[in-house]
Amino acid sequence: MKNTILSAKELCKSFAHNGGQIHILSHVDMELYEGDLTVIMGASGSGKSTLLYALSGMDRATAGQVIYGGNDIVKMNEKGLARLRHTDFGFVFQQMHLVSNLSLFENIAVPGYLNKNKSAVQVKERAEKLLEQMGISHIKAHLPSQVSGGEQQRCAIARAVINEPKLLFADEPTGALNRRNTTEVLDLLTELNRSGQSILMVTHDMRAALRATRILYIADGNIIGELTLPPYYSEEEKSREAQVSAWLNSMEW
Amino acid sequence: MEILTLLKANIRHKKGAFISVILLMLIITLSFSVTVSNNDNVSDGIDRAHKAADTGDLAAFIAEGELDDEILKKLSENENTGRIRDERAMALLSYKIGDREGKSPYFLLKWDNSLSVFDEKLREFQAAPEGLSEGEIYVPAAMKTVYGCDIGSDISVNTKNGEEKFTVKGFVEDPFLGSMSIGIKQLFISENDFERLYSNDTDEENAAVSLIIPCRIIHIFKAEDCALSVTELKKELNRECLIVDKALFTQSRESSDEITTIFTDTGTKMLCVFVVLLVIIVMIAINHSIVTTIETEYVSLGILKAQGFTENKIRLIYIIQYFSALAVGGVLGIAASFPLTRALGKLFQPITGIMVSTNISVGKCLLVSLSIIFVCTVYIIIASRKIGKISPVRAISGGAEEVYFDSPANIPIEKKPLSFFIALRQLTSHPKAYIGTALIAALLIFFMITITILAGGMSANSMIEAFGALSGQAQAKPNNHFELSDISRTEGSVREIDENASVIFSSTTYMTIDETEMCCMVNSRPDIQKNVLTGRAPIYNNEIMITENVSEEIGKKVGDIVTVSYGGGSGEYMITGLYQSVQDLGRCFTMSFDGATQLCDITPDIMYITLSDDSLADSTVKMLNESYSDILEAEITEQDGYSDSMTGLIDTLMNVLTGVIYSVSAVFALVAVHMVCSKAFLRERRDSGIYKALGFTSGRLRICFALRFLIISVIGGVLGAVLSVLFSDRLLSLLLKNIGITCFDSKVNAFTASVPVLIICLCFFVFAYFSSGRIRRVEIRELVSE
Repeated sequence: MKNTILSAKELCKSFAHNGGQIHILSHVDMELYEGDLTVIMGASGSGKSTLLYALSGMDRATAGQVIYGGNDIVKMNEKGLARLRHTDFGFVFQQMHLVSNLSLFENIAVPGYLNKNKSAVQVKERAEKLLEQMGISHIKAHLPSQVSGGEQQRCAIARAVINEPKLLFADEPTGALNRRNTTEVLDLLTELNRSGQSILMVTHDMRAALRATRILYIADGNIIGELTLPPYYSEEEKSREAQVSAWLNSMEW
Repeated sequence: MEILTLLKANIRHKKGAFISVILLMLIITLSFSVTVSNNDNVSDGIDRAHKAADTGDLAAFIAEGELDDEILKKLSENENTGRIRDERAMALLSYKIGDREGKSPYFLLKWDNSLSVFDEKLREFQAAPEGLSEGEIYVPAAMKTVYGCDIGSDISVNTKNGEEKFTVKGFVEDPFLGSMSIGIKQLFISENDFERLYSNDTDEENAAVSLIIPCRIIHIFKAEDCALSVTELKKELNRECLIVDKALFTQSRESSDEITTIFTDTGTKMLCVFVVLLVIIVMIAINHSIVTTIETEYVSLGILKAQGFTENKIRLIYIIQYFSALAVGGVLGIAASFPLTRALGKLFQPITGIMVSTNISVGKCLLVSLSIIFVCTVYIIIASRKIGKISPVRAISGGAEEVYFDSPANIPIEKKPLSFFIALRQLTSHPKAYIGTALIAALLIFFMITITILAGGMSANSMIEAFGALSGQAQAKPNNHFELSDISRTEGSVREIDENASVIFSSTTYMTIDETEMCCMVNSRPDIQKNVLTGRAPIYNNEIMITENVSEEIGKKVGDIVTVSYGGGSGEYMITGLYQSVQDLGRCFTMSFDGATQLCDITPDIMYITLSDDSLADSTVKMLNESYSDILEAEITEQDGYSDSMTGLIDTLMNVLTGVIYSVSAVFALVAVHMVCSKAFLRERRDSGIYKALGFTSGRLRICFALRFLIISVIGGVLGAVLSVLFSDRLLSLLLKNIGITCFDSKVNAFTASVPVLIICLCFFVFAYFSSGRIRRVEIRELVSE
């Protein structure tokens, strides 16, 4: 029995548009479990990114609850959410979004500096270790504009895990990468997950979905399907792809 | 049509920058309009009053005993004089205003209704001024400020037949000697009183013991075709009939006007320099706004180009946009100057003693506004040239050129203080964007320090201290029995009480130096004269020291020989040095008593005693009054004859000027910071979202923003302080030359510099914090929209 790390209850998100309301998320109920690499898939406009942002507290839900550590993050103030972001949650964006005037090392270290429980020395040591792990320690002094997209995304992943978050959110982390860089990034995420990191990833990329231990399918703002998978091994990729593909077809993907 | 559409859209979307430029131009035009209009109003008021008073181009105050028909005839017949007007007057040697003993020469004149009379509150003229009854006196309006005189106050005059008391009935507008900045005054009494005093209490034969000297004031009007300057005319007339040598003193209308307008003139010059700096600041702000707009809107501008907009068309939009803002600001500034000009006029009225209108010099202000707009427009044309470099292809394919932030100035980010390090990095990674802001801070701080120095130096007491006037804790007034041999006797007695005491005897008189009349400070110790600029103080009896203004006027320098004439005597003297003094607005020189007695007999009219210990002042005064009561009268030094209200008024004026400069600087800081902040915010909106996603709060990001501007203002502050050390004194010397200060030595200290620096730094920090409030509205979700 896996432990629930985060749960959503009756989660709604709507936007005002032309005097009316557009409902993106409609009463979503779901749970995320510790140690899982959960992937949310769905067609364009289905609300998958909106769900990710609502669950991570990056965006406020219109109604409902997101329970994390016994607290409803929908009701948290800015300070509480900020603390959550630099202690318990990590985030990887599709466009990397590194701070352009900070070196790769600094991009990784800065969120670590926000963490009051870690000294500067500890943060620096961890940043160096992550740079090594991500294979970018040789370019740590470079600015984001001076490195490739794949290297930027690896740096973004290192930045997201600098504070050893309980949950890592990733929004289309391979969306802006070429095939080779995509594989590298997915390998890193898989490796992180194997080491115990809980991950929630939004993607429409089949290769990314294959790395999941659990796939949730969203349509019209609601979770309509769930597929549980064993941990990923590259040798079983073909059979895994067939299984996931068949399931996605059943979801009318 | 397409230009109009884009122009409207630009103004709508960038109304912050548009309003900022309007506000900056409004402040500039307002400052200029108010000061120039007030200056013009004061000049017009003086001209009007001179016409009413029938003031000559030159007036000679001459004792009846020195005047004869021959002089009057020669004056009238000189080809350079148009006409002369003379009137009888009485010079007062001993008088009291209330309880205060008068120290400057005052003249009693017969009231003839030629001058306008103010109402009780000095707001309006009386429609039909009443005549004077016996015992009543009209005094210049400035005496209300200088001596705190009021209607009903007493003025007593000592005559050989006893004390005569007059009651102040009202205040008159005297454009010639009525200003607060002129020591000599004309008082007006009834015809009966005048004739009675003139015939009974004056004593021409025994002038040495007389307390009232009968004299004439001869107003000399230049001939219409006279091309001589007043100084040349004076020389010419003196050669002809020795009028200057024989007169108690002469005063030209030109020099009277200069002294009367000394405060308005200095204030106006100061504000004009400030306006020039503000225009530079506006240009810096406009340049920053245009350059940043081109940078942040590269894609839009590129698309416009791709759609067929030429570079010139796009530049034209910018030009019209800023031109409109400048024009609107200019018009609003002139409109807003109406009430302020009225207020400023009221502030200066007690100083000049002149009723000032509240008109706006619309023509002059419009001309200056148009000039500023023209200069700014040319600058905008230059600043917008980068539009030509925008490539539509690059714009359409994703935006501006790749920006690299690598900089040798980048300091590694550390955990503590994280906000400071982030702020520093934001600054060092894009330093060009902040050069203008630092320059703005530097210019504002430079001028604030300069005005602080000026305010400190212009207060009545510090001016006397610093610029060559003599003073001391005690002083004594020698009487007619005092002889030069008494100098060493009395000095020795003072030294018995305080062996370190400095005793200086002095006499102020008018002499001609190379035929030009100048004030001479005859001094028992010219060797210890302060403020020697070049050369040395005179030591021997054939030496004099002159001011730079005198040097310029007579065309002589250190080492030259000049001819000095006084009291019928004449002699050659060598100039040993140049010094500075505010005496007679810098038109003065100094020599020793030994030097002066070569010309004619002269005795000191004041003794200044500077003691090493203040507590010895009482005993010194007591000793002098007991031991030397037959030759002098000693007293503790008061405020040099000025009332608290006059000192207060000068301080108020300086405080108002300082307040205006500080406030305008703060508003400029606000607008400049807001403009730069808005652009920086636009450029860094994405970074703000990222930082928020990493766990930064809006408050922390705003602190980073504010810290960045604090660092910029500190850099600007250091630059401003350096500019002050280098240029403040030079600027002030240039501006104050007309009052005799040719070498302002402020010795800028840490305190003088730190207050403006602190104020601007605080303004930058606070304004940047508030301007960055929009960070709160940055949603992390915006990062997804890309």
